[in-house]
Amino acid sequence: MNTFRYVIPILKKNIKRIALGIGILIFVDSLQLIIPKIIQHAINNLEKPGFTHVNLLYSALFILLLAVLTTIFKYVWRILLIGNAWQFQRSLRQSYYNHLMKLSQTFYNKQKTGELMARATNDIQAVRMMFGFGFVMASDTLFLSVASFLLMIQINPKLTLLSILPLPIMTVFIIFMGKRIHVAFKRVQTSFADLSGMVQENISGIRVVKAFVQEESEVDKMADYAGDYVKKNLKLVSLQAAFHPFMGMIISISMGMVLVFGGAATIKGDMNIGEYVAFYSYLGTLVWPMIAIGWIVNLYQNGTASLKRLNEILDVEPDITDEKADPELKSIEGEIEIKNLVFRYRDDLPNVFDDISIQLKKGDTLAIVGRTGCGKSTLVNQLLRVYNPPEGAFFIDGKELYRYPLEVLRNNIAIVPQEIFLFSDTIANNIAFGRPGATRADIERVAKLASVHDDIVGFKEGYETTVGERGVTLSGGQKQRIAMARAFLCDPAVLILDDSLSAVDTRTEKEILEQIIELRKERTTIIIAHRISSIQHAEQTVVLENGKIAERGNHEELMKLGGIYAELYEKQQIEEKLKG
Amino acid sequence: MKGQIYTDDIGGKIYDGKMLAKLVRYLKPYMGHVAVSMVFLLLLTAIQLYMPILTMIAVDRYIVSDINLISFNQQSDYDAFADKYARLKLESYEHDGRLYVLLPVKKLNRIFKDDIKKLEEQNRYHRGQYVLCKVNDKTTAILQKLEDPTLYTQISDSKYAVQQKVFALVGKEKYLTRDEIIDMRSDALHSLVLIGIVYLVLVIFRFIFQYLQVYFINYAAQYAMLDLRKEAFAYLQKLPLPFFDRNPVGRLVTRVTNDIRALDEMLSAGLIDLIQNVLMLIGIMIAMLILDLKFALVTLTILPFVVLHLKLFKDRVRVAFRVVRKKLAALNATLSEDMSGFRIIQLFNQYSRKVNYFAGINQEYYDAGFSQTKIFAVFRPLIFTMRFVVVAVVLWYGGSLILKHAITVGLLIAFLQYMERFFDPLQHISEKFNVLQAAMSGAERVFALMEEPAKDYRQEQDEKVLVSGEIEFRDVWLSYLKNDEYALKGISFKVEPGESVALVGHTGSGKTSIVNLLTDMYEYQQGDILLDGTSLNEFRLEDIRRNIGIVQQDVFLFSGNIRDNIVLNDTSIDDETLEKVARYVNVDAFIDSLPMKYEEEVTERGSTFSVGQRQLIAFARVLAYDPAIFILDEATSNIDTETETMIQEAIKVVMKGRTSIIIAHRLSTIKHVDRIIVLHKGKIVEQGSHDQLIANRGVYYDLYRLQFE
Repeated sequence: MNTFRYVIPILKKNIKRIALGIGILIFVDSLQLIIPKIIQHAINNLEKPGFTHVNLLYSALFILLLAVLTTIFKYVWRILLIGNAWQFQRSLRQSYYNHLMKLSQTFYNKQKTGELMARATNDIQAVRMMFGFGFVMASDTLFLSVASFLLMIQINPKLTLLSILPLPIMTVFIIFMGKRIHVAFKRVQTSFADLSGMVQENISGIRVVKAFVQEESEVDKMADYAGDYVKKNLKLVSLQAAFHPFMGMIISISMGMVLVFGGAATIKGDMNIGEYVAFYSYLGTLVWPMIAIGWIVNLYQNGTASLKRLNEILDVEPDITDEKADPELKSIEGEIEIKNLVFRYRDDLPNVFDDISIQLKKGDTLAIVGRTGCGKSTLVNQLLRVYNPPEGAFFIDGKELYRYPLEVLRNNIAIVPQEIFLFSDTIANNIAFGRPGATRADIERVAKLASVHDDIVGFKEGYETTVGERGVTLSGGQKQRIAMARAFLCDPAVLILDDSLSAVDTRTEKEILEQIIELRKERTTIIIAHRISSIQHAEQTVVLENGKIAERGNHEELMKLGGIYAELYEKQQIEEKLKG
Repeated sequence: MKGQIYTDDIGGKIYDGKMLAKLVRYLKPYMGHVAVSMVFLLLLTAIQLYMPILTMIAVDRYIVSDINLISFNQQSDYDAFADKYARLKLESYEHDGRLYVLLPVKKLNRIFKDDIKKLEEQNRYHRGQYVLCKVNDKTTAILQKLEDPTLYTQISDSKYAVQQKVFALVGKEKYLTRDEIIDMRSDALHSLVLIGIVYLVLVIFRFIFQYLQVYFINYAAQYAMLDLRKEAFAYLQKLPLPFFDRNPVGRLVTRVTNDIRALDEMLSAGLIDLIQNVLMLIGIMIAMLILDLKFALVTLTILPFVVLHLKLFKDRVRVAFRVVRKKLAALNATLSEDMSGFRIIQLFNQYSRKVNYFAGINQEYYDAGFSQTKIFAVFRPLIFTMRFVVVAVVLWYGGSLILKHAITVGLLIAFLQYMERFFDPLQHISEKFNVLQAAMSGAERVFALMEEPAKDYRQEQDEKVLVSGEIEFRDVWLSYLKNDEYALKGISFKVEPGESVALVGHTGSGKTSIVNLLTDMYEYQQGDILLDGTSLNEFRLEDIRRNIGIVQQDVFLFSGNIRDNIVLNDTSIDDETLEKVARYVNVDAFIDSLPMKYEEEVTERGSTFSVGQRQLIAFARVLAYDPAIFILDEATSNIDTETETMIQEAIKVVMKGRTSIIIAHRLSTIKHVDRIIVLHKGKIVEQGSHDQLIANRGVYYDLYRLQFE
């Protein structure tokens, strides 16, 4: 597949600007190439009778005029081409972001955030460089090298060949050294990574280091790593130190050819002194592209490699879609049924759910209890289609889950997840996340409901307090209660609490949950809870064990049964006593 | 906020004298290398500066060769002239009773204009292209041909002058054929080849000097920064634990690694480049001023504009860079956050809103980038403009000087070449600002780290070896943070030599805190801790820790091999002892089963081994060291029955004859110990044997039912 498939449409939109930019770039280059000609004529005319400093002034003014024009047009192409590259970057980044936001948990489970970030930063930048400076330099190089070569030929073909004779050595050298430097550079990077790894390990294990009085030997060990890094670095330096000076030497030799052979040609009368000076200038212009080629190749290689990495992500098809949805379905009443749910992640893994059936009437509260990892969260995540469940297992208001558009489904079912995520935004905005237009009164009402209002007004800036690194650090319990308020505000037909009060003390948890059950008498609620005491009032409780519903009933029935539920309850009572 | 990339702010300073002074201190041991590098730097700058002069010589003496000629009919006229200009050391040649003086432009320049005018009126001064060449058969023939009056009529009274083997040929070259010119000028052609050889030698030497200069300065910078790195790391090792609790690992790693890396880059590349470029600039100016004072002054009128440009550009670019960085950081933060919170965004149907929000931030970054582009689009081409302006000035002013015969074409070319070299360093200097800026803020952070208060290792105390291993806590109070709740509230207990004690309690009861204090990891606020009846504060820190063998809940193995992890750099422990201790704690069979046995590499902190295996290795470590006190924090995770049995056996072996404190999670362990101390919310609530405590029906009874049943 074409590596450029995602960027060509973006480039096409700006094709006129790019073409104009390159046109101007070439025009400016041509202007620049006139200057040596002016100098050439001026110097030659110095000998001629009748040539006065007035004529000289004209030449100088002509150069000034060119200078002004060059400056203006250089500004224009920079704005056009480099500016375009920034625009390009913006579009590409936006597509990347939009795409990421459409992908599901399945994707994020496989991808490391760090790598996704690296793509957004380094890779997009590399692509921008390819289409910005890469474009510019490629056009510049191509035009300048051909044009100055032709102008040199026009002055003296033999001298042209003689003077560019050393330049291929430079290209060979760049390729040859480039590889070695690359290898040496990689070794330096590896050594640096090892050093970082060692320091990282040391600091992570600083307690152990101290407990075993290993400070000094750790310093010795670190000195070995750091010493290795220095050695690898000097090895790289021994190569790099030769790189630019060597190129400089070859360029100077090339210039030396002009000095000697061009000088000889001038003496012999094959060319005049003005041409001699102009030839120098053109050779100077020709040398630059020889160096730039390596750079361009590099930009291109990095750019395409980065683009390929971006393509990998952009190619991922979102797996949670409205494909089978019925756009006529606009609301949810709240009756939920799970019918004979059988599920496993992969065929070679055991069943997570083995024939699970639950019926939940509108307005009822369902509590799900079970050990860590028994699949409680998976069950509600499937209901919300965070993961796609097997077809024909979940029914809402008697209709198959997949028939509901995702927007309808999620507008009517709100969840307070197990791992609370708040945005680095104000508390008010975090609570109003699902209903951005909510009034302050509404926000405060749900905050009170979630028993977090008092905490919030305790902060200096109240509801306008920023959360996270740049603001206040909230306790786990505060975060959970804010997330609770966030879900309340949506006033959903179905509310799911996924073990979402674990960091709140028992009494508050009880208070909140009792209020919820009371307030939501008419609406459906699913509570996954760790502490049994707080869900005693649920109409229906199921205990999940090994993918099956091991126990089912209300609190009294389950206590009577004396099974897992009862045992858990007793242990939790002891724990409460110890904490109390 | 998981998955965020750790970035430090880059401060504003480009140059900070205090920081630099601190850095130079580290360079001191390598001053020899720095000096050698500087010498090479001077040499190569000299070569760079000489190369345009070489071109000038080639052009003026050999390529253009415009020699002026003055003829004197009478000896007395010549004598008067030669006397007046004795300082010019004029050369004269006699021919046909006349005296001829060769006058290169350089000397002509210093003859009074009135004298020239007079000579011109008398038709005795001849300007134009005269060629200097050696006499040989060929040239003589050509010269004789020139005597043909039809060929040569312009200057009637003097065609050429001959003296000894040198003569000046009068006349334009156009009267000669190409081959004749080559014959006439063979001397100049040879000299040109000689100049070419000198040029080549200079170019090669320049290469060598450049190479050595870079290598030597890098050598100095690398080793100086190695010293700094070692010192910073060693210092870091001595910082107290609360410091590590406060600072994220990533930040501290950056100090010792990336921050110092920025410094060595600055020293080896940034600073030297800066010096080199400044040196070059000054050198060019001096060279031009020496070659022709007035011409140089006129040319250098561009300098104030260059300086102004540099200053305007520098300030603007710095601001622009900072804005771009800030916007990029904001963009990345949002992206990273939304990537972590994608589920909430999807579950609350906020896709469109978030996309719009991101588009806004994306636009801000674009705007910042675009303003930066605009700044560059103005200032970068302006450098070119100035370059062309200088070319125009050189051409105009230099050209008119040539018309006046005040300077030569070669000098004009040399000036053009100097000006070309003048702008490169300028551009480099502005590019180095960022390197310097990054390095300076790096230096600031590294040196700030090295000013953190270090833990007192009490090296001044006498070396003490614990004999009995008696431990006593006397009313110890501990709070980890100021004004925080106390984690230990008046703990007092005594462990007799050789006694084993289990610490039992719910999470947060203070078990770990007791161990933390015993190994002097944290400072307590009140009370006293005594070992062998002596206060902890009277021990050298290392004596305390060397005499306490600790096995952590999740044993952290160092990278290295198994042997290293058991003997921990103690060379006095021989293989026999090593194998013996391994056998005692039942880890020998496991180690023997490894392909490299004791030499088996430990990777990723030993995470390839099971928790149980790691604990067994840690037990061996304790036995090898034979400390008076043994501390065990039992693993809470499930360990397979077989390993569990081995661990229980090992615990018995290690406890034997040692004062032992065990944070117990297993009933079997509790049953081995002499005494159980029950902690609850930072206080000791019960003590006694298992059976006594069960009978008490207190906290222990509850804990027992919760944890051990």
